Amino acid sequence: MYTDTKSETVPAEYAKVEILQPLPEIKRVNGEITYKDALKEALIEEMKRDGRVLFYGEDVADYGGAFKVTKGLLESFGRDRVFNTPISEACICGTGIGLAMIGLRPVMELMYFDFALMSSDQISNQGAKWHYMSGAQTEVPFVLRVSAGAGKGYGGQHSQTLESMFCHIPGLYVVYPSNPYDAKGMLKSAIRDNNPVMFVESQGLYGMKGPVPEGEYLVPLGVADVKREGGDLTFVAWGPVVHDCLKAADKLKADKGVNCEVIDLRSLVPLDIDTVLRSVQKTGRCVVASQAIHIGSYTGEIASTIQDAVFDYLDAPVKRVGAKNGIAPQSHILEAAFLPSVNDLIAAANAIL
Amino acid sequence: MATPIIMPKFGQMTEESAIVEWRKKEGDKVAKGDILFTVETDKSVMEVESFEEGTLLKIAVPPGVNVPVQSTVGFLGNPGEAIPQVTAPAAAAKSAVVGPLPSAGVPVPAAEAPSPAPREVTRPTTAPASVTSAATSAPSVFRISPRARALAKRMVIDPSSIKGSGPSGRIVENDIVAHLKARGYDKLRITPAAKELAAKQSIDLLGITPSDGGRIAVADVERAIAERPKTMSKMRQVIAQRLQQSVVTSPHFYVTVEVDMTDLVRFRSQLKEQGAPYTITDFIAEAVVLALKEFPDVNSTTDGRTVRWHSRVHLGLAVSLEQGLVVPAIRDADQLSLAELNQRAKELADKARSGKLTPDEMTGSTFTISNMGMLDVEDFTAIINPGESAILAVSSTRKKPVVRDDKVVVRQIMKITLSSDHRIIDGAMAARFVNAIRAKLEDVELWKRLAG
Amino acid sequence: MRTGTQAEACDYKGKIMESFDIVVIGAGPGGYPAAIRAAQLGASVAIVEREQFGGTCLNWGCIPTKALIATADLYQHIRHAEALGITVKGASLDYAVMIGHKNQVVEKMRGGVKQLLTANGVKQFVGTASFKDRNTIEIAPVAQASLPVPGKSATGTAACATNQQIGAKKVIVATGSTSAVPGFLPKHPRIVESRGFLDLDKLPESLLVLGGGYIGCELACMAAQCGVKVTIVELLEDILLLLDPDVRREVRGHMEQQLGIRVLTGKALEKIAADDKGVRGQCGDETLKAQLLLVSVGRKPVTDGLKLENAGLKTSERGFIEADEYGRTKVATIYAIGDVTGKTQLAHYATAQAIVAASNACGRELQKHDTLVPGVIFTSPEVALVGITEQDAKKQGRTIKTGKFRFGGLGRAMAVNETVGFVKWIADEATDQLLGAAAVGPHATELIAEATAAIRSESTAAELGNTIHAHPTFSEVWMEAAHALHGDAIHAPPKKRK
Repeated sequence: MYTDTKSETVPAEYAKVEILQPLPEIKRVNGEITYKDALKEALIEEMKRDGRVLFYGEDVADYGGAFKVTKGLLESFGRDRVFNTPISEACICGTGIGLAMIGLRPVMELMYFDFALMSSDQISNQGAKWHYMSGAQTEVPFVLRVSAGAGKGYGGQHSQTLESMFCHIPGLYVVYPSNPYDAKGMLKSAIRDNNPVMFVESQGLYGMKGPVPEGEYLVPLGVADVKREGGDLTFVAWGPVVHDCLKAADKLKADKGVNCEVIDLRSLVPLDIDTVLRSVQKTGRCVVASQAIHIGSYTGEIASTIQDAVFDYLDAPVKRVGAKNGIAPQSHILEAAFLPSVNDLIAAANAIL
Repeated sequence: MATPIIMPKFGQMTEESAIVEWRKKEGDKVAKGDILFTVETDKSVMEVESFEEGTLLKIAVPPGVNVPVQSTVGFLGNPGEAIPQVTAPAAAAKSAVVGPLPSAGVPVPAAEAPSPAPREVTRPTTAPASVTSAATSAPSVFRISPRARALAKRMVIDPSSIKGSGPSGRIVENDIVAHLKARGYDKLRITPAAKELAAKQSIDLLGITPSDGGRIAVADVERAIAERPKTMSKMRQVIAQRLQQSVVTSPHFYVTVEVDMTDLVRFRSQLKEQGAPYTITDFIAEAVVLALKEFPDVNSTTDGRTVRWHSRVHLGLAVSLEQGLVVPAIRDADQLSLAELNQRAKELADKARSGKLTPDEMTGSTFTISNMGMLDVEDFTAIINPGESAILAVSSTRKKPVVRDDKVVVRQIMKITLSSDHRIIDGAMAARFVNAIRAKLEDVELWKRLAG
Repeated sequence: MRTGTQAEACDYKGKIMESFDIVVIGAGPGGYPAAIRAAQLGASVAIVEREQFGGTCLNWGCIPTKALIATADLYQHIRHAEALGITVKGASLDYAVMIGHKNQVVEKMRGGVKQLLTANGVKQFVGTASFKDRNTIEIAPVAQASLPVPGKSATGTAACATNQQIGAKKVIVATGSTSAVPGFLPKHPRIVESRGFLDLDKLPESLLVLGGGYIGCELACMAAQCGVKVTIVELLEDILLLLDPDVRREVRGHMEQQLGIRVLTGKALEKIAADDKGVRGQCGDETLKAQLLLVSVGRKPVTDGLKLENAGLKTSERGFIEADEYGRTKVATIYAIGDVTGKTQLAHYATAQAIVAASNACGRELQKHDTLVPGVIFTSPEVALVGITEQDAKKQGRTIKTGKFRFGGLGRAMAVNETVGFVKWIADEATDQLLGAAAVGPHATELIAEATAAIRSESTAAELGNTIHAHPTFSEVWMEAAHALHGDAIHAPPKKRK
């Protein structure tokens, strides 16, 4: 279902890449850049390294992307490799899959995660399955960047965090970095990986600054990161909620002297469950959190796996935090109440401490 | 369709029973009269035979499980026949005192099952209003997290007494840790073998006092295991209940007389040589029966408000067996000759020892004799069998110096003590009754007439 | 085009990586028991070894040295057997035969290890393992030049010709340690470390030993018993500093007086030089000369080529892979055991860690490995210890009492004319619990097992004293020492009453 191969060496005919105009500069301040610039840098480096890498989506070329992630790429790499598409997610994904199957390495962008459902057939029935169904005769190395608009007041059809649905499709990798360093390293790894990867980004995090080294580095897929160590309770989270968990951990330490461990899963499929289990064996208490709506969220899968695998190490039930079961409101105040907050995380922790 | 095998009702008042052992396996052929299983009732272990022939298709109730009488415990039929669904028997309800009120909810099987027709047994109505509940108390609800439970198990301690600090009183890891600290667990020294044994037998290490140089050794754990409360057999529980009930309900008082058995003992040896072996118990039994005819109040039962006289004397002879006390009754003893009495007493004693007494043989006495003469006792008092008004305790016959005609002579003296229910028997009557027995026993001419 | 020819397309084997539940790196006394235990627990296991199965212990450590020491001891006994009525004239030593015996033992045991692995279904790879990522191990072929038979690995199986990758759900790193050879030493055949020493085909006439730790001392004694003139130079204030002073004195005294070994302590050996005439070095203002220099200043962890960073692991400052008492490293799926972790570097400790780590890696209830590790030194006389020493107790501020008994007081020892040395118990002052033991003398390395068991089950000195020991045996010495601890040893004169 999944292939072990990665594109380690670039075939000679694609290794020399024509750069039409100087590459866009990304300035670091104290070694830091924004999440969206980290993505841009990743794309630039990979497109420079391997001529097979293409990038396209709605308004990504001339306009530089709805969120300005890819401004300047068209000018440097040319319209053969960076171009706009019609407003048809099915077209974007379908063509990407075809391109991948014939040997190119497309990176596609969907402006909003919500629209991924418009290309459900392409992603799930085609992209995720052709490696397996062709008897490994073909690989489908694409990266589908999807942008979650939660927390921006964009309303029901532009705010969904749907990774849980796609984690349910075997054959597809699903990753969701929470900070600039992971974003760049994981996008590079995703582009080099020969599996189809759904690369989830948070619009709320695009502006977040964080340290990103200048040299070449990769962050492996399928590896969780312990962002904070502690022995009393484990938070497992991904995406923007990771930062809320760190804040909650601070508050719990200050108010109650509780030491929380915060694990940023980073990768949902493949899932590094070993790091999570090891942590729960240590602390005996766990809260799994995500911005996705609570019901049917991937947090349930993880919570269920934890209680199954390390039941005897649990001192309390595994708690889950997610958005309320509803349709994202447009009003900022209502949306804030709808999305999980630091207080929700603290409450969940208190319930089991 | 297969025929249900029913748990029989042993005794009018029996409400539930447990199978001790299935004598046949599923798939075995069963002939009419074959023993299917044995049952522990309140009083003894009974064999249950099959009234039909067929194959034992299914065992629905395993040994050791109390089920209501008349419930289905298995199915008999031809191989391949359909077996109807049997709902698992309800857990044994708190067993009520074996009293006169039958439980209303005894399930009746759908199919007609052969069962012995219940006998009309006159049952005394002295059952008290209150129902004493069974000895076992229900375990309290107890919450503990898996992590805490695993820790308690590793440490070989019992967490059930710890107060939990978690929600709904759940015991969490910290509670166990605090408990261990408070009890000085880390100062305990335990041999590896002792720990292993304690873990297997679920003994709480904190509850053991070390003896071997301050260290808990295997011997200490074995002691703790031996000291654990063990549930008594059903039979013993019922005996305990009944005796307690008797003492609580009937105000007992005791009258003792000394009986000069010298002549009777001599007469008895003579009879024995002549080939007519009677036991002392036979004579005492007869003497009691005769006395009861003269003192009807003693052959009665009371509930404190009414009194019931029994026209017949059903004489109970207490027999002490390993599994508990049984009182087989000689029915209509007042109608039997001494020889018949002797024979019946022997039959019942044998049956009692081999566990073959029927329920009806074990109940129904109107007066009981408890003979400890063979146990070398000076004197003792007995507890009245519930449903009766008095009981005679017979002690050992011993040579004693007594005064006869102002002279000290050595005679064979046997003390007998009557315990009486003061609600119906007063002191004078008791005294006269017990003296009547004495008089008869000391009258050797009487015996010559009866045994002749 | 991605889709190739029909034939290429159908070649799955090249595309599907062989994957295992557990991959063990290193097949020494840590690695192979880990592999066998994991296999016993039902896991699919692979083990990768770049040199010899059996590791240092089997090939260049415990086993070969014991084989040589056996001869040395026997030779010693023969030459001093007149008191017991045996006179041997002209007994001579044939080192080549000794080496032959040693090699035979090693080969047989090596084969045995491989058989055990095979019997347990463990797949064996020969090559250098490195992490491609935490779940992928790359195995590089062993350099042809270093193979004894070109084309065949040191273990005799066909070596990997090309790089291979295998998948691993969990990895157990057991790469062990190697002799630390200071960089300032010249490289010359006359300067060897312990492994090189065991490859010699003849003994030198004279030997300089740099470092008075247990390896240096064992080989020094062995050589001295075989007639070599030995000098030990130790930088610190005494040899075998892990032992209590009284134990050290006993063994050092015997080494110096009976074996004629020269022991220089608190001294450095400088300006070391070697040529085809011999080696020499400056020790204070004395120039020491010998035919061979044995370097035994310690052992360092082996992690070169592992590419730990690909797995997200780093070594400590001193190069060890840190692991907790469950054998776990910082990475949830990687375990490390044995010498490479920097815990007490002994083969049996590696084995104990291995078995527990394998069980933990297979998802069984988390277990810690035992930490009561007996140490055995095959000097002459033998030395063994377990638990705390008096030095340790002092450092910990623990009040203890001790009980000693000399072998000279035992009937058995006198009967066989082996009366050197003593044993010592160390017990808690308040509770009488046995905390440590040391033995120096005949069969010390065997006798220590009783002490280990007693300490582990928290016995007291009183209990040990009450345990009946068969007479006449060497083991009685423990019982007597336990009584001595309470001042009531039967077979020693009473201490002067105050």
